[in-house]
Amino acid sequence: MNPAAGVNTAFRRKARQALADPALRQAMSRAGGGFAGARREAAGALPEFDTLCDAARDIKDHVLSHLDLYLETYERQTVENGGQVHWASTAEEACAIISRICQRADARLVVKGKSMVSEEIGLNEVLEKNGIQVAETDLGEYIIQLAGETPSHIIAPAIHKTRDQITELFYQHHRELGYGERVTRRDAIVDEARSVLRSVFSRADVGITGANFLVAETGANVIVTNEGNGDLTSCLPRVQIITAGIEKVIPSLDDLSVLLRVLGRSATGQEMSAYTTLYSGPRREADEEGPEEYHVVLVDNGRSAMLAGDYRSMLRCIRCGACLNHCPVYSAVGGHPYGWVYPGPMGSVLTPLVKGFDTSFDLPNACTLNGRCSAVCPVRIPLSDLLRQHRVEQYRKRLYPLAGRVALSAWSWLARRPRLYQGVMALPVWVMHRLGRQHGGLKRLLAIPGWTSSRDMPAPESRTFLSQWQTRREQDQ
Amino acid sequence: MTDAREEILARIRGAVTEQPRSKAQLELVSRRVSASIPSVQPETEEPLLRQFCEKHTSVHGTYERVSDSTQVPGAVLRHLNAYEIASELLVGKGCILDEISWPNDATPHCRPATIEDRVAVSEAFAGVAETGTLVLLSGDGRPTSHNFLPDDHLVLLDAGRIVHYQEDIWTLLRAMPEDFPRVVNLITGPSKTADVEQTVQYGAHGPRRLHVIIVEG
Repeated sequence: MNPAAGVNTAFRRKARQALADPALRQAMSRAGGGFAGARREAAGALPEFDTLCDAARDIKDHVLSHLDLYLETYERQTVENGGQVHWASTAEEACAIISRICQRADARLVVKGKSMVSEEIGLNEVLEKNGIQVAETDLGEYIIQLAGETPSHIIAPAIHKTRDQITELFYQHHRELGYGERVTRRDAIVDEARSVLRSVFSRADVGITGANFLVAETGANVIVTNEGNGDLTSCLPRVQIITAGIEKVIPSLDDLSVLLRVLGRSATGQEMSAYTTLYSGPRREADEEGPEEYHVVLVDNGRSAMLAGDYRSMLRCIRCGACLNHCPVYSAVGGHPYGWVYPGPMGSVLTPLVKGFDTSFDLPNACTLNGRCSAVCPVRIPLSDLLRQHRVEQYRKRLYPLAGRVALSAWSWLARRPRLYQGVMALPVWVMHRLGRQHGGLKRLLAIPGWTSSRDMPAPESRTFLSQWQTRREQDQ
Repeated sequence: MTDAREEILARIRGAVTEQPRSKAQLELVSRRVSASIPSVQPETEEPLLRQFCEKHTSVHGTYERVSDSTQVPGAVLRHLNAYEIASELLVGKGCILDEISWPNDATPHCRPATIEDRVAVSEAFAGVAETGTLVLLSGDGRPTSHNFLPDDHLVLLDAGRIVHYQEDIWTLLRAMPEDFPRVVNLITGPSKTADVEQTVQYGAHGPRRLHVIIVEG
């Protein structure tokens, strides 16, 4: 539906471009179904999976209703471990805190593990403005950093890139480092990135990662990766910084085990990712290595406001990406049209909450309400309902154009009067039945020609469902 | 930044119901962070060692079973020979590792890893049968870099230290007299990535090969 004047419609423009981009179509069709199939297999192999998801939801709900207490406990433990905890209300505050830590450490080179929060707060740009070089080390993040792009998937940031595109990017950027050949094989691409990034790791002053979980019991931050880059980022540089949303805290190590059992299976179909690491504070007396400083930056950026409203359940999100992998709209257009760092169903719920409807009007509407996202969410976030809730608010705020609002009101008036509704619907049903009689379907719909450009509209039976139902009941009696 | 801290906590307190907290709530929270709670665990009837080996193999790990610690150097050298790796080893500390006398054709080094190092031999704190996971702890003579920088990571695992579930690890760690370790690595298979065309490649940033030597005696 067209929005009212002045509302940003970048999504539909970018989605149209995406659908016309052959390289993107190639990359997305290659990715399509892979994650979803792996998840189905892993969940199916575990009889306890549904019970685990319920338990995961309950843990998150319990934390959210006691969030202040768990954050305070987590902070106390982290300080006891020798770490420092910083609090940031906004993205700007978070970036300022991290910049200050880097400047105080006289840092010239920062290495990063994949962190969606750092994407959310726009950290790289701020650090670079302050004269600090930033190197992403997750292979996917590294690829899109070379391309000057943002992630298009929360766990597979370069899912939209084809192998040919990666080959070209590496050739352009690595030539000056002495890698003169174009690498085309997958293993050679991975090897070249490994080799280039090792020298970066060994020179880095600061390492920044996100956190999958913060454990209040011990004050540990937990990172889950497959490549091992997050761990090199955490253990080699002399300063370690962790960025985390305030909703990441969980009570105990036992809760961690429940959440880990659903996280890997939902994300990539893995029972455990290759590396799950708990870090608690800076190096200790017995350590021969490890960071001298350990900082955790707790980021609010709209989360505490979400806690108060109808969207609290969105804070259960553990960023597994299952809703993206099962979304037909995301699978067709990729992540970039969504306009911010979080794409797909979870992004369409989050972005309007953080950024407002002005820039994200289209997102809740770019959804068929098919409900697959809600069905696969491991912490049972009712994503479809939340998206519908956004639409209701858009309607209330009169963001839809007048014609659309009038049409919706008329339909709602009609739908609440069953007798009238049936009488009114009988005529078009009969007309369509007559028109489609010969072919069993309609080749063209005058009102929406686009719908029939690649398929026929099945012709309805001669009468409406309700009138047929009534006849059948009368016959049965 | 104390202002931001107070602001955030005030917003949270305003959002969640039941303020101020009742005594029962405060007790609930402190109980949740200090005691083990029953949780949902996948049921299995397989013997521990067999399940560990199956799961470890399914994530591309390899292993060899040896009868006692005297067999360890031989197992290490077999792996090095199979991949034609020079026998300059980084060796960590551990109950089994400390007892081993290395033969002349292996040179053990005891220091943190650099990007030049090719092989590290570590000793696991425990293994988790549920997922084929190795648990390694940081500390004296156990640098975390050993687990990530070398191409080949060889890990000794005492067969008696394989537990059923991940929660059993937390129980073991809580029971230790020392502080909770600074780094706890749960390692399940070698390093990998699927960032190029969603196809798995091993040896992304961490070890290309993860070889476990299970010591049964």
